[in-house]
Amino acid sequence: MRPVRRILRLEPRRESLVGLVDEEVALHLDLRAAELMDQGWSEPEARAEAARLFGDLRAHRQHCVTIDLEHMTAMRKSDAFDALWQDLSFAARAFRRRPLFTLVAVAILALGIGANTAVFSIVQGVLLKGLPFEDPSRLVMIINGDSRGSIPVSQLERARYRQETELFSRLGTWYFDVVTISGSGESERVPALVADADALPTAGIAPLLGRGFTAEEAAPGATSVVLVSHNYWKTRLGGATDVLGRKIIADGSPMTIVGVLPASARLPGDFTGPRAEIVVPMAVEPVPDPRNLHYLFAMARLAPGVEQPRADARLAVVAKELVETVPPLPDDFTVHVSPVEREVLGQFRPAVLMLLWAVGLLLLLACANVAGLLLAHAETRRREFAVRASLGAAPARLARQVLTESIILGGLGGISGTLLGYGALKVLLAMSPPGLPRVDEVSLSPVVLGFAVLASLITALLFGLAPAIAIRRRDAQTVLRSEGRGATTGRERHLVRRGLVFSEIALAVTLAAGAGLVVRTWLNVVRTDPGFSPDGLLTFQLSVPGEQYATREARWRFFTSVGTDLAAIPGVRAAGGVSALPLAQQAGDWGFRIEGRPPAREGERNPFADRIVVTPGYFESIRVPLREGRLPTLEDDAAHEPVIVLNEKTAKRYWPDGTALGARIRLSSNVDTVWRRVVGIVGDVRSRGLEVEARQEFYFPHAQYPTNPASNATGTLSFVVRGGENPEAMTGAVREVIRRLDPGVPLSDVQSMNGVLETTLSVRKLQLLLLSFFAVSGLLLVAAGVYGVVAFLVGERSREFGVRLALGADRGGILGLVLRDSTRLAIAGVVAGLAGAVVLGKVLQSVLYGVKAVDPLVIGTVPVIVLAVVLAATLGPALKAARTDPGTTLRSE
Amino acid sequence: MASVDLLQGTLDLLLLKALSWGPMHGYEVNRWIRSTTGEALSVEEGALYPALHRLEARGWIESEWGVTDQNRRAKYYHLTKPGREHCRREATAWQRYAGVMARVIEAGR
Repeated sequence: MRPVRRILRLEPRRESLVGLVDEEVALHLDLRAAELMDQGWSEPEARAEAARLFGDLRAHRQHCVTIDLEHMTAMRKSDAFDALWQDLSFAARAFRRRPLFTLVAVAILALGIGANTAVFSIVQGVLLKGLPFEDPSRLVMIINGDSRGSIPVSQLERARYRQETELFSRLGTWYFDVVTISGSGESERVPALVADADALPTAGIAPLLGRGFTAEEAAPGATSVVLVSHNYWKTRLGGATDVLGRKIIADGSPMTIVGVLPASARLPGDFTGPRAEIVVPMAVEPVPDPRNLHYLFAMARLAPGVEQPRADARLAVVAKELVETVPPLPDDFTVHVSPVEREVLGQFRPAVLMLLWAVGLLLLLACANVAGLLLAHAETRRREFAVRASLGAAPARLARQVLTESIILGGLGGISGTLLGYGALKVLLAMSPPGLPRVDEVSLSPVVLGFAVLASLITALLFGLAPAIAIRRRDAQTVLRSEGRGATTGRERHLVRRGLVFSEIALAVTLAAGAGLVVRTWLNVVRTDPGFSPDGLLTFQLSVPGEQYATREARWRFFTSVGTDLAAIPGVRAAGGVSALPLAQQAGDWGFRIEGRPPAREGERNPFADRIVVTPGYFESIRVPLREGRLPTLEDDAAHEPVIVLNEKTAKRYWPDGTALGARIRLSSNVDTVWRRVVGIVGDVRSRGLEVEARQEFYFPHAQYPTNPASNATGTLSFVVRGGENPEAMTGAVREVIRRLDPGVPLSDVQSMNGVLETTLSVRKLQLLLLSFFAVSGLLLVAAGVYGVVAFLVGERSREFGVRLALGADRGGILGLVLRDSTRLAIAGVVAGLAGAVVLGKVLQSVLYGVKAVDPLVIGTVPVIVLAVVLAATLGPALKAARTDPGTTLRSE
Repeated sequence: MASVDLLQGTLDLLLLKALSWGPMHGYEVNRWIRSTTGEALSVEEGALYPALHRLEARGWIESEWGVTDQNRRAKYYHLTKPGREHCRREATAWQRYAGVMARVIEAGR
């Protein structure tokens, strides 16, 4: 009772302390004088005597005031502490009284905060955090393209773009390669960045040690220099400071280390996949190759004052000019610039944005749910508050009590949310698709965490404070009286609560529909026939050193023996090599002419197909079916008639009447002028991804591939080995075979074909897992929310039900009443949710495959599931309502 | 009877003892002391007030404004639980002290 009295007590601080002391003293002097007068003193004498007996009035008064002042200061401090302690213990008691409420509220908050934090952290690390470039907003990639998509930049175009000094203050180009580092011990294949002298400076990347390339070093035939990555320097060179000037043997030629790059150094194209370990100078052609080969990345720094539209406008003119002067360029050739940030994100942008949407919906759902819980909770506390208000607790004091509880609830939610978020982040990163850019830079973001905790706190406060404010508005007595009589509560509060349930259902429908689309997409993708059989296949890459295998002949002999020896391994059924492994490597295309047909007319394209080199045994081992004719054999060598194998798509496109077999074709570029006979037609392969249509392809026997010393196309092959159920078990035997043939040829990228397939599916898998997780969480939240609200409403109406039953209503009727009520709510929610689902579907469009944004199956299924969840959540309370005992309820009031 | 000067620290005990009879305002405390001691102890009456305020600051007594029989606002003091405890402890200590002193003085005669 002490606190209540303290609140009620007249606060001395309102009046001056001095005045109070004076009043106290004055009373004493008056009463003392009166006593003396009773003994016969005259009034003036009595007053004088009282004052004399009192002593030094000023000193005593001053003394009192000093003591009181000190006391008051101390009291204020302890008062505040007392109140806080009291709030905390009240809150603890409130939570202990309703453990389920507390647990559920904290769990919901934790889920909302945790999922949000984890996903936002990834988005921040991957999407929002600055790139390791100097002033990245001024950096653009120069993108060539035509109607079929983007095209890399050629040396000729590089030279042309570099003339645009008004647009670009600096322009660098590069490409990626794999080089064999030999010398000490076993030779090793490492990813390499082949860059011109301007590539790293354009990005603002300066070497940690040493220097970058000079323009002279990028000229053909210049002394060989190399930059090494931070990682290479640390792991292979021991991080020694005296590495500058040392030599490493790359692809057989010694190269001098002139610099070490910082750990953050990366260029676009290097944000996915393995990072480049060394940087070698790109040979800038003094006279551009007439074939105008496109293989370069080009990045430029916009000149001061130049914005993207101006650069694009100027480049459009340049593109026209190039089309007119450079023959192999397609007529619809275009050039534009694109912010480097956008390019680095590339394919992951839709997936990440989808995650953001999903997680945003989940946070909304969590907030709506906590709000609903708090409102129901608040109803039960209205009486408690009314009692305390009538006992004299100030409205502000009650509001502070609720504030404390909300903060504790939010704090508990925040702590468990952080833990959950940390765990979820770990799981997400473990599941993250290989190649998600900059995944190694992701960490739990405090900003994001703060945001999510704040969002839940605001929700908790908003809906927690409602009852305290309501008490302030109404007369506490009214509440007490009305509660006592068990009158039904106000309509407006029901409206809010039903509104919350309605939004929860709508949000859950939207989430579930999104998940449905992703599930459908996943099923479509995994059910897609890749055109080959990945089970039981081991794949790896072999790259022969250029100097020992200088001729195609030498390479052919080596790869032929590899194929034969691999096939001889016990348990291996077939083995063969291919220049572009399906789903792993991309082949470029070549145009060709068909014998007996006129060359392409002006404005038309020659027939074309992706060029792929194979060794005998490849089709047999990967099981691409032969449709017509025969497969390449060992006979198809340089001494025999050049032959070619088409895939069905190519054959059907150019020989719609089915006469492809036996026809002859010639490559239309000036690579060679040989006529090649079509000897076989094989099935189509989805070589660029399961969801990408098969491309037109033609397969060259290795021994008959056009001789091109500059091209490494026949020096690096992927092998596919078909063995038993566990392809990885063959790795040892395979390595042994290669070592016996030539220990200097390194083996890389050893993995099962199913592993390759999984890699291509990993982004989808992540989407599937996450969205399903979100959808299931959403449904659980809805179930909890609906249950909470319906249970509460039923409890509140128990008197009404009692009366109805007493008046002869049957129990089935009551059950129906409750079920009908929530069904109405659910249907409204579902309709709104489906509208949301359509919007979400449009957002998801770009990540969907084989399913439309508005999918009848999803639209049909999701409402059924959500309705079922809602009814299941309603059933418990509804049954309880039907079991209402009219006698008990009526008596209890 | 000649009045005895109040020993240092005994004023507190005196005040607590007075209030152990129930809430009083300052003047009532003063009157209680005078009547109980037969005016034998000389206390400067004004010194009572700083002492009361000090006891309140220590938490041994609390005060509340109330109204006297003559309808005047007055500050009433009452003992708190710790105050009552303290009073009992001090009183016991005093009795022992006084007993010892009495024996010493008796023996000296």
